Amino acid sequence: MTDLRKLMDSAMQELAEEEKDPRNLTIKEIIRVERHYYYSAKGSSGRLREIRDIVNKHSAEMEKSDAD
Amino acid sequence: MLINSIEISNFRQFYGKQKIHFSTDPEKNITLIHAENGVGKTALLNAILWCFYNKTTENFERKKDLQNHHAKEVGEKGYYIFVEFEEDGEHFVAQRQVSSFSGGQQVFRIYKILDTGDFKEVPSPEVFINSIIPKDMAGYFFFQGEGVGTLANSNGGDVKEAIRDILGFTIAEEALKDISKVKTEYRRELQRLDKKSDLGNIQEELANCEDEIRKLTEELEETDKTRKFLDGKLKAVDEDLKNSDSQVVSEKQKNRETKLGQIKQLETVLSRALERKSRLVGKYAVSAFAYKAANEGIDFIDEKELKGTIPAPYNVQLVKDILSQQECICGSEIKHGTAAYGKIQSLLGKASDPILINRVRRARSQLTVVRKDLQDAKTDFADTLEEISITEESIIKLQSELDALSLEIKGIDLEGIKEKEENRSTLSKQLGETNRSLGSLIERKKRLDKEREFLISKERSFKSTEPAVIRLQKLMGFIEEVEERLTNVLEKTEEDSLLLLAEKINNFLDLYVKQDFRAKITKDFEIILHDRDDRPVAKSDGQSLLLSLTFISSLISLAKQRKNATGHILTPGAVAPFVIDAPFGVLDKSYKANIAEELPKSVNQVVFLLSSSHWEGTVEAAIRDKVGCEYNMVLEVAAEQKKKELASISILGKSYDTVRYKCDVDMTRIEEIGRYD
Repeated sequence: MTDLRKLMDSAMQELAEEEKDPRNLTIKEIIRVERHYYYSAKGSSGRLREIRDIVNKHSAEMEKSDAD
Repeated sequence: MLINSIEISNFRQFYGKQKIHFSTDPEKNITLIHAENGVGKTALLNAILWCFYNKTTENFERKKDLQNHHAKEVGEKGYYIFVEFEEDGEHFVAQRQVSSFSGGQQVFRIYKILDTGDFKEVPSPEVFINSIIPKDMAGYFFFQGEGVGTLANSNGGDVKEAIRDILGFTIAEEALKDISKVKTEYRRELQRLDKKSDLGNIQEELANCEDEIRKLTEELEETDKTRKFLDGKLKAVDEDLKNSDSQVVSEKQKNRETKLGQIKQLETVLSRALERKSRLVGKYAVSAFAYKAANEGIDFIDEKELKGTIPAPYNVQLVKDILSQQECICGSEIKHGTAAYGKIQSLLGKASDPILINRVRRARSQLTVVRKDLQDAKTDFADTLEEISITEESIIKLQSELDALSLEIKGIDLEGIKEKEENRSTLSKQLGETNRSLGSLIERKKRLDKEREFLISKERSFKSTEPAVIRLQKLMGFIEEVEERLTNVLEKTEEDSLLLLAEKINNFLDLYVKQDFRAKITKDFEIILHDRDDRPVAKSDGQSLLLSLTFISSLISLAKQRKNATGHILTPGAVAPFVIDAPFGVLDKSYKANIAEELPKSVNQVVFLLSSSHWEGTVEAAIRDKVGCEYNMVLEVAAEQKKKELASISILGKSYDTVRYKCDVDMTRIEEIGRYD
């Protein structure tokens, strides 16, 4: 029998291993925003703005770390 | 989650306040609710879904018309559903109601029931209920069983959706949609910054293309929902006709299903033959174009060979030897500078050598291959076209037989049969139209995807020196990497889960299916049965239903195991009751008993909503020891009985009414048969 927990968490390992990678941080934060809007039955206004802010922030971090 | 009780007031068929207690005893975790068709099984299932999520199943008609009609007539303003449940040892009550106090608006609240018996309101009730059972998974726990057999027969789309829902992909999929929208916003900004350049133009084209893809995707999803809805309705009518009291109707419906099965098989044959025809066109196109040239080429070589000009009837080496030895093969002397020497020397221009001979042979051989190819093509094409023609004729013949069958059913002089068959014809026509629209939408999307790919490859070849443009391009690059990473995580998880689910299904097949079959889930998410020699086998209706129920049961067990899953992308799973409406349909007796026995093992609590056709036989013997609570839903009719028959159901040797006439109100009354926990 396949170890289910291992299997289901394996998809997460990729992110966990490089937790500070700006791309992974972007994914985590976008998911958090989406979850908030989806389950609280809020409208969609403001969601894209929040996602853009997350992308801008982490893209700038990535650029900075590449320059360093 | 375990559900303790549900209180229903003036919701659909249920007039007044009525309550059902559900068994929470782990040893007797089944609650049985008996009800004949149209009495309220589906309404009860939807009462739970509506209370928790303000949603209903696809087959639930008049979704907005929820208040009981009699209650409305007598001026009672409002209706509600209260569900009491427990989660991790704590007790809660979820309440959704519409009342005059709320001005006719819906109000949803959840209260925690404290040890003192007091109630404490839970903030953000939607978020709270979704943290226990996410709404996208709820449909598999509170499950509409009618038509479920089609899951294992679907083209894979429904299976894929189910796996994605239960693995908690929904939020990640929403994220991907929004990432795509943000990308389009960046493109439009790039286009505004760089209006006159080629890059600006490409950005505009790309932004428009992506907008169109998104709209098309939404249209596709909507059309697919309609397809599922119509398909479910059609299956329900088919089921109804097959279970008709009239043997003639039932036989004709079975006959129709056989013919539909034959058409499905023939359509597979036809589709393969059409694919083969396309391949043949590709394979023989060059030969067809070159056929005339090949024939003329071979004729030319043959003619020249016959005349002895190609290759020339003398060898270059022979001519060279004569010239160097200055002596003819007849013995005459041929001196350098004489007229004879000059004549022989001129022969060198046409003389054949091994290279030339080889070239002529090769040319001939190539031309012969082309000619042979085309002869084969004739046979291949003729065979394929004949197969296409025969298959199409067979399909047309079967379709006209189906039309005749439908007319015969419409002509049967029995109450309701003509209407049912007319309804079926309408549904079947609508389903056909929806499938055609779906096909054309899929084709349009494929074309747009290709166009997008082409534009992206063009976009990559442009470099700008404008700092603002460069900044936006970097943002685009970054967000594309994020998008790719997220997509990869989802694809990998989905791929891994296929093996796991197949394993779970096979464990069940090993235990309960007579034949030595194994199930495989393909990369296209089709569930295929294979025999012991690994050959795919056609599924009977019963096997399809069995596979589908096993698949659902495996999904539930997967969700249970994922309840405490950590991770940042996928929503964790859930432990929830399994409430299933009309689960057993076309299963034969032994399968019914097996599945009824097996389902309660994979979940903590089961509620079976059963009509007598699902219940009678082997089911009772298989699960009686596990039943904690049992109810009967009685149809109460205000009208006189007239010629209608009274009906009842036998439970534990006692007879219970399923219908009563001359009652005060048209309604469904829920009556307790026993609580054994």
